[in-house]
Amino acid sequence: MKQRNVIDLFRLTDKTAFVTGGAKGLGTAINEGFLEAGVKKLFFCGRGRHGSLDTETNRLIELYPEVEIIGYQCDISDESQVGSMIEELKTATDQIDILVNNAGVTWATPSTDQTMKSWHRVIDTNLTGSFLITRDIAREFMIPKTQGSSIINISSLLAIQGNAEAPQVGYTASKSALLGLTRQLAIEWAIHNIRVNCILPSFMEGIDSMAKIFTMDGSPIRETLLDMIPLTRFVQPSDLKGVICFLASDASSYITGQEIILDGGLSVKG
Amino acid sequence: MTNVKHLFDLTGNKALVTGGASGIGYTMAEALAEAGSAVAICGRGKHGNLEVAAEKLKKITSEAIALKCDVGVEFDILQLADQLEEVDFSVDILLNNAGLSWGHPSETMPIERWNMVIDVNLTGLFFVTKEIVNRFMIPKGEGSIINITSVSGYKGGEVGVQAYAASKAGLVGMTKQLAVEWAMMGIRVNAIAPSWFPSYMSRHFTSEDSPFRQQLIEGNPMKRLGEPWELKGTVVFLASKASSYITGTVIPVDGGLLSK
Repeated sequence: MKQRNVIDLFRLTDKTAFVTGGAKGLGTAINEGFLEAGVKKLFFCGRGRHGSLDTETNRLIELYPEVEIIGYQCDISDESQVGSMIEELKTATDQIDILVNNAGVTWATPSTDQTMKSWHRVIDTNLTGSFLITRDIAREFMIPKTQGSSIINISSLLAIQGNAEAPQVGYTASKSALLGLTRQLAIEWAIHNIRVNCILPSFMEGIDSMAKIFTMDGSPIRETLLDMIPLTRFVQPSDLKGVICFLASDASSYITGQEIILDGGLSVKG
Repeated sequence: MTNVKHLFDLTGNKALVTGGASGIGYTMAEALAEAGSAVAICGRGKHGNLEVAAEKLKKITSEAIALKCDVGVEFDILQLADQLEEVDFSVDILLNNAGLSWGHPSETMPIERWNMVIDVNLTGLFFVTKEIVNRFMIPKGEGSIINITSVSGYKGGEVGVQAYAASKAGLVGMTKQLAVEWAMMGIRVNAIAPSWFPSYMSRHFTSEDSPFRQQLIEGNPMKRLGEPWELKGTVVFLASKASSYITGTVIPVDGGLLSK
């Protein structure tokens, strides 16, 4: 590996990736990034509402007909659905090298009005669901092999900063919890050559994400937010592709347990 | 949307690497060259190692130059910037790697040794940055600056490296301040915090016959030291468009040490 040109370190040739929440929004940018970097097989899952799984699968197959691409329907907050999907996955592949925990939901309302139901909906998907998938994929695919694996958790800048404009306490708590999960699994599984890192993006633009209500044209706080960001723009899908491929590839082989902040300098501004 | 394959390409860029003649500085200069950037390295130039390193880099990239500079000396810094201007080497990427350490128990640390470390690792690094930013990056409205800090900037460790630890923690604060201040000018400022990598500078701890080596390996979650090539990816990531929305951050390359 030492002799490889640095550009080759970022290639994902011969690797297989799995993306949760891969049918929509950010997940579609992550899928594209992996395919551009040359993955051999790409699997993703989603709740599959409104035919989104088929739409995304067909879109990707058209772009990359030579790659095996399968989208699974799965509500990751349901342990039995996760279990069934893992069984199906085992019939399709014996190799998963990269896992991106991207699936997430939110519920924005003042904290005094959060119900047990909305709280659970968010925590059960963003935190518990991510853990369930990670536990099973690590056990079935990553721990048994000796080559390196990479797990990437999509957290949020809200994990380290509160937000007054749209309070979503369950989301914020779940995204902070992913930081703890990242560090614990990184330490626990380092001996299995599994790296675990997370990405903290700030407000996203250009894709169907939760930040859309803030960043779209016509949003009453769009300009206010832009003024707060040192680089004076929002996160673009291509920003995510770069950091994902960096963390998924051998280019980051000695990086584990880390948080990569993708925020245009927002969080370091006093 | 930009294809990810092109995001890491540095063709057409010019990079300056301080302390780039040897150790991890040379490895990182090599990474920038492999990604297609022209490279200038500077150093104190002991034993003629600058020229040797530049010759090796010339085999990788179109342009590689070596310049003598002690970043702890203001005159040297100004001369370095003058020389870069003379050869029309307009810096896009500045890798602030030059640094030194002096181990001495804190209770008897002499001020001369303290100053020696701070003057190079913190003060020298800032004034190199200021000069390069003023002459090249602000006029162009773009640039990427990468500061090499250390896990020592976050956690205590071996006895006697107080000045090194303070200088490296200082770099973390400086990185964040410059990132916010210069974002408007299109300049990004980030840092890399390596843990233990074998090099001449770290030889007392990392060499095969060092009594500390095994302890460092055992203490690391990955149960090994870093290999110099493992810094290459992070340098190219931060130097390139792949990180165009990342500024003010520190990326530890530490086998998980800081998470433990």
